[in-house]
Amino acid sequence: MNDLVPSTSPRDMTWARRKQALARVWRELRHDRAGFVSLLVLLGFGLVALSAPLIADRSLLLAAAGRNNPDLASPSAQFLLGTDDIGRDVLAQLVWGSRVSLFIGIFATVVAVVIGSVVGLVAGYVKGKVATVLLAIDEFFLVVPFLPLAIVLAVILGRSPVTLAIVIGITSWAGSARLVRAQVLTLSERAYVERARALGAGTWQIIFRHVLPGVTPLIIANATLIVPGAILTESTLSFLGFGDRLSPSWGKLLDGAQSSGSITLNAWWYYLPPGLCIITVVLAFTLFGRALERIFDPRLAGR
Amino acid sequence: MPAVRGVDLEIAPGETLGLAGESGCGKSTLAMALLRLVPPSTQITGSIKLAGQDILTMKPGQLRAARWAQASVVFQGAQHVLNPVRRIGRQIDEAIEAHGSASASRAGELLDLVGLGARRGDDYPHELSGGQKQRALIAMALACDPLLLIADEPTTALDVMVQAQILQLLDNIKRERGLSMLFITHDLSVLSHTADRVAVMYAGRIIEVGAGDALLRNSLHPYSKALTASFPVIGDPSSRHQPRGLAGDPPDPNNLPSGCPFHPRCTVATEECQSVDVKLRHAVDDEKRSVACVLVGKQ
Repeated sequence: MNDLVPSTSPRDMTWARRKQALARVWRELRHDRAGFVSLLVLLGFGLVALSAPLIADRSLLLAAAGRNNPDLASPSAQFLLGTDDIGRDVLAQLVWGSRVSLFIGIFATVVAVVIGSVVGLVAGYVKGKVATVLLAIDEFFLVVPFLPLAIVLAVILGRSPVTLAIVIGITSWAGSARLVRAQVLTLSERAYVERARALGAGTWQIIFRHVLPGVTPLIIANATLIVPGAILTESTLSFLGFGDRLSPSWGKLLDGAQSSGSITLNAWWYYLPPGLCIITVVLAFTLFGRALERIFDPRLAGR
Repeated sequence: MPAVRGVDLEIAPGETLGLAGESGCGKSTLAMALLRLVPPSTQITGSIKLAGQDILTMKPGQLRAARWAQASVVFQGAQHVLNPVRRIGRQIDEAIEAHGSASASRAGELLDLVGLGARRGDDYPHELSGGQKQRALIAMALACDPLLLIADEPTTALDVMVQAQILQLLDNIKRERGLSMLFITHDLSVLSHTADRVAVMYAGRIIEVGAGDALLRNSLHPYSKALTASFPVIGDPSSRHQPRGLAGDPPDPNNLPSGCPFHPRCTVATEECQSVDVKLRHAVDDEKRSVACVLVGKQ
């Protein structure tokens, strides 16, 4: 087939093929309305998070910033989303909060996916005692109620956004390890894996060359489904007061709204925006993840 | 439960040994055991010498080094043996990389050698036809210049024309490089023009060994006779209308018959066959020929 275009070099053909594959994912995503809208929503949130310094100055987050402002003022031209109980701009906190929430959500997912994939690959391919031990650890994390565990870890490890993300990652890798292992078990019985063994390939070579490429789409789709859970966990931890006190996440905003009694005072501009943001982002990530899952796994194509 | 028993074979440099037998007789198990590619729970006893080294006593590192560099395998069913998501060329280079030799890609050269053309290295397996995939597998098997090529039914899934091409290719390569080859098949007609010597297997044992042509034309063991008779002979009209099969099924390896394992299906079995199990022995006036049958050489 490629012989028809003799002028192209192998590298060009490689890129052409990659572009084709990407184009296919893009085309299918375009036809998946929920997935596509979700992607746009997520891109919007990402843009806002990245441009936070342009929208509101960081100094507006300081407790002192609200000194001269009215407390719990309703939305106005000066404060588009009103002020909180100590007079700070809610919109500024919301915008800066999207940075913290998205960062923790994504970083925690990276941690969870890396741990989950390595454990799943090793447990699925190596088998024997190693697998038994890994699966026992995996089961421990599946069974232990994750919130108390996350709270304990958060208190022990400290409360910067990075440690919080690691804590959330550590408590949420167990499911993806199971998923990856199941796929690895079927892949490692393929004839080409036996062939690789026959040609003297080592365990790691087989895992990375032949097994990992087969589970990558699964890992990517699974990752987009872990992000919303991580964001929710971060919000939960912050709402319960175990988050980072210094960075303004959406969960922390909710915590502030709750403790200042904004609900009884009907200060909706304080508790509604962070709540809606959490719901929207979580929903968008879930729908986007499902769409990717459908694209990468042809068995789900019929829905 | 023994899948293969009492096998004693040797292959000289540059020689092709054909290993024939029906499905489930232990051909592939024997071949895979040569490189210790059987499941870890399997026991292999005896010794397997490859260029003077015993495979069975090798440490894992040595074994990995010996695999492919000394003996490589052309598997059956090429469509499953190639990783569908990796380019052919990369998969061939993988064998070279696994043995740490130069990073320079030899894939193109090897693909040229098997008549595919170097450009094909950039293709994915699904872009090749069955015969082309089998050629790619042969290129892969040659990647580390092995001494021994184990061809495990390399032409099973191919049509007759392509089959002939592949056999020709294997033969040429063997001649050019002085390779030894273990050629496994259930198709005796394939062996007739590839094998210098042929070994016939039944129920996990070798029951007859001999020079290729002689054995195929004049087999002595009743099972080899049945096997050769099941192919019509071209130019012999009488055989065309009555290819003979063999009644019964191969024995359950868990529960082998007493005496000669073939006696329940043997048309010429005597009472002696139910109790006496003869080892492979030189029974006739042909020094290359050994047969495991009480009746042969008795007259």
